[in-house]
Amino acid sequence: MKSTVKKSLPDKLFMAINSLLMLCIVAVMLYPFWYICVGSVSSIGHIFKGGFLVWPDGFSTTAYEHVLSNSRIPRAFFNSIFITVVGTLISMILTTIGAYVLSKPYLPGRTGMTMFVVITMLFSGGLIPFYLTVNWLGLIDTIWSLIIPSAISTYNMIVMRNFFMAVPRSLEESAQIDGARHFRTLLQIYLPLSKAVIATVTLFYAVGYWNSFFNAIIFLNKPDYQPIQVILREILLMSRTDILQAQDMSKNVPTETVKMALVVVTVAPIATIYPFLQKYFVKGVMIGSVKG
Amino acid sequence: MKKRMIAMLLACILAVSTTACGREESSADNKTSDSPSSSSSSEAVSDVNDESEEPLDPITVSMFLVSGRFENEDSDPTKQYILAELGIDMDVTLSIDNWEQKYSLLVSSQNIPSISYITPSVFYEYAEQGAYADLTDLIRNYPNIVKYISENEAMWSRVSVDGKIYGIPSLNTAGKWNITYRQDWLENLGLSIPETMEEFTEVMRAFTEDDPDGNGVKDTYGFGNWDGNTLGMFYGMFGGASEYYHLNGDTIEIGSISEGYKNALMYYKELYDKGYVDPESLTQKSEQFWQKLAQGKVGSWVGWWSQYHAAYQDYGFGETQPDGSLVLGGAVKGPSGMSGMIASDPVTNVVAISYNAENIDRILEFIDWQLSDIGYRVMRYGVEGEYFTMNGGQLDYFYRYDSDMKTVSGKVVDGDTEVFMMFNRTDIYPEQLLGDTQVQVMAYEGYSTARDNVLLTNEFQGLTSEVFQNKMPDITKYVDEMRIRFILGNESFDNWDSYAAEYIRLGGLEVAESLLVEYNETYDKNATLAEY
Repeated sequence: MKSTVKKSLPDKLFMAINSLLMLCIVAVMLYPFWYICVGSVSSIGHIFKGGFLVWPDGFSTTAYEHVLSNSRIPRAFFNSIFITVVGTLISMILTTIGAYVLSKPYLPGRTGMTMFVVITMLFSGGLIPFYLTVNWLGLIDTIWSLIIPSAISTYNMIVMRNFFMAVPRSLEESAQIDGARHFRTLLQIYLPLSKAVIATVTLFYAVGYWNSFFNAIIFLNKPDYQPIQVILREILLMSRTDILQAQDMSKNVPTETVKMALVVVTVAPIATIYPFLQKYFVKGVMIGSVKG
Repeated sequence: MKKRMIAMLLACILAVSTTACGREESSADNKTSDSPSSSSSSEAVSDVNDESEEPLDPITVSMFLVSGRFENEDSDPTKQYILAELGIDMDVTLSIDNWEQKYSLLVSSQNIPSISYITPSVFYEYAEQGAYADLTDLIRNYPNIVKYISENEAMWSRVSVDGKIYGIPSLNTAGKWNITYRQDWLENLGLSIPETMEEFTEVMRAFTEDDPDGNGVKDTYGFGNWDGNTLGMFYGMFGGASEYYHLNGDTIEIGSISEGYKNALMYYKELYDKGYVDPESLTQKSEQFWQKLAQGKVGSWVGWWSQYHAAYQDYGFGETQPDGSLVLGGAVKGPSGMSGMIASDPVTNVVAISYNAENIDRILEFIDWQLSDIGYRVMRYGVEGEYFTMNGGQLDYFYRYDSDMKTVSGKVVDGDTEVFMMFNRTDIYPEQLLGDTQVQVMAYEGYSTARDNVLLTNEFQGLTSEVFQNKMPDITKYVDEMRIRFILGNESFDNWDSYAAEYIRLGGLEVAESLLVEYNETYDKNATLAEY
């Protein structure tokens, strides 16, 4: 290339083709969700006609009315929100404190404790002992069985611990000289410096709590505290033709449009919040990699 | 340094000591604890006659039902009624997602539900380990239970272990499958519902090649299916079904390697090769099949009886094919005149009472009531007087008869009244399918046609053994794989003998022999297997 003007043409071409390719990939990935949004406001016949659904045939909100009037669903929603908010709060408090303590090199028995903690990350006692423990604690059929037994994720705690270890000791020492005890040091020195890792770990926990269903299935016998994910699974997966027929169901099976509306109602909150937290997520993934 | 060592030692001791403490419970071993008979025979046999005079103390009964239903506003009246009239406070757990795991956790934590409504195979597993109460002597005192079972003597053996009865079977009819055709296509082409193999082949050909929907495009198939759905009718035409065991003359033969099964596959392959069968039938999911039906691409299918009216009720057939109509056919006869739809297991579920349940007499009374004429109806339809009314022993009004599903007082039934139902009375069941709405009419037709169909039965239906449980999953996988290979032509039928040999090598004969032992024991027979 001889002049700068000519140089930019292949660049422009590259940008153009690249963008086009990316747009195609985005379209392919977004289409299933678009299909569901369209399907939830169409009529059944429109969905079963098959083929690509680009636009709905009319705009009917009956499916949404059905979903929102079903008393189980708003309640399950509330349960999910409660579990996510309270669970994340509890988890964050416990994880932060645990990470702070494990990050201090002068902690007696630190290596032993860390090893103890890491072992639980690698091995698990199994489902029956877990259930027996929760049963013995009297948590069966309460909403706390979904929060307390799995409050601390060892992986997240290790990530936070590593981050805290990277904070210069001199800061801590100077705080000590000024008369701060550990708790104050944690609150006023470490936490303000750790905004990125706190946002990341909070997000990890929040998404984990929002998506959890297995603990709910195992520990809850009554539908009072079921999170929305359990209802979703039941309605979407368990009402498939082949599973139903074994039960001679003569009741009203939720129709396709209702199922689609249910999916939209469940995914919408997370989908709206996520873009705002995304920058923390991206930053957070790189947290443990580069120092300084 | 020394301080560190001591501190570390203390930390380790603390850690180890906390792992050692905890409940001293025989968690995983409780299954081998008390033999069931000792706890239940000490229960006094109740005086059923007394109960109607005194008001009953309410007792709480924990129930576990394998069901995808959930309690709702239309099942609450039933619950209140049972509490008021029978003094039973039902503490119900309805589970279907991962239910086997959940049930096993309940059992291992010593919380066996007082009443369990579970599948026969899971029931048998726990019954063998003593989880349930021995009902052999107790049942005699409950007239409805006795009547229910005396009409189905053979079924008792399905819920007995070592001659002792541990559960009450929930029975249903064995005929559940139908073949459905596009009636408008038959009329357009001047064909009648096929009864013989030749007629069936001709209908398939015409549906595919003669443009039955008159749109000038060759876009139709004679027959459609979805993965996992059975080729039941074809098996019946030749007398051999995969994974079934058939009585052929004096001996019992293994369906999966039988001549009948081979011929059924060969016939299906013939239709498939000629293009009469939708090529995606073997792999697509049920949702895709319904879409094709709605698009008017499929002319017939073999399905569960309720799919006949479900096509209209749930899958929008009426909207997408406004000029279309469906009609049921009977099982098509094969070349030797044999026919049949495959029979389903008449024991759909089993109701068992936990070995340490309190108030077994009250629980059995409750179950006895459920099998009575009125109890069955209340459990299914809802409270009498509101959801249904009787007139001289006949069902007079039922909310499903109304196209808006209204109760007597005009409330629309949006929920589900069958939530707690555990037993089916096949003699009463059809009455709920009467009525004039299109869905009701089709439902009744579908049910009665399926029930009255000729059936191809499995001699070893519901029997299980250790060998069966160990080896059958792999064998089933092999059979399913080979079936597709045979149909697609990837494997030639000339190699049938090596397929049969591999089946036997995987343990197929062992499984059959072990089931034969169970069969002879359970039904008190002296059958033998064919030569292999």
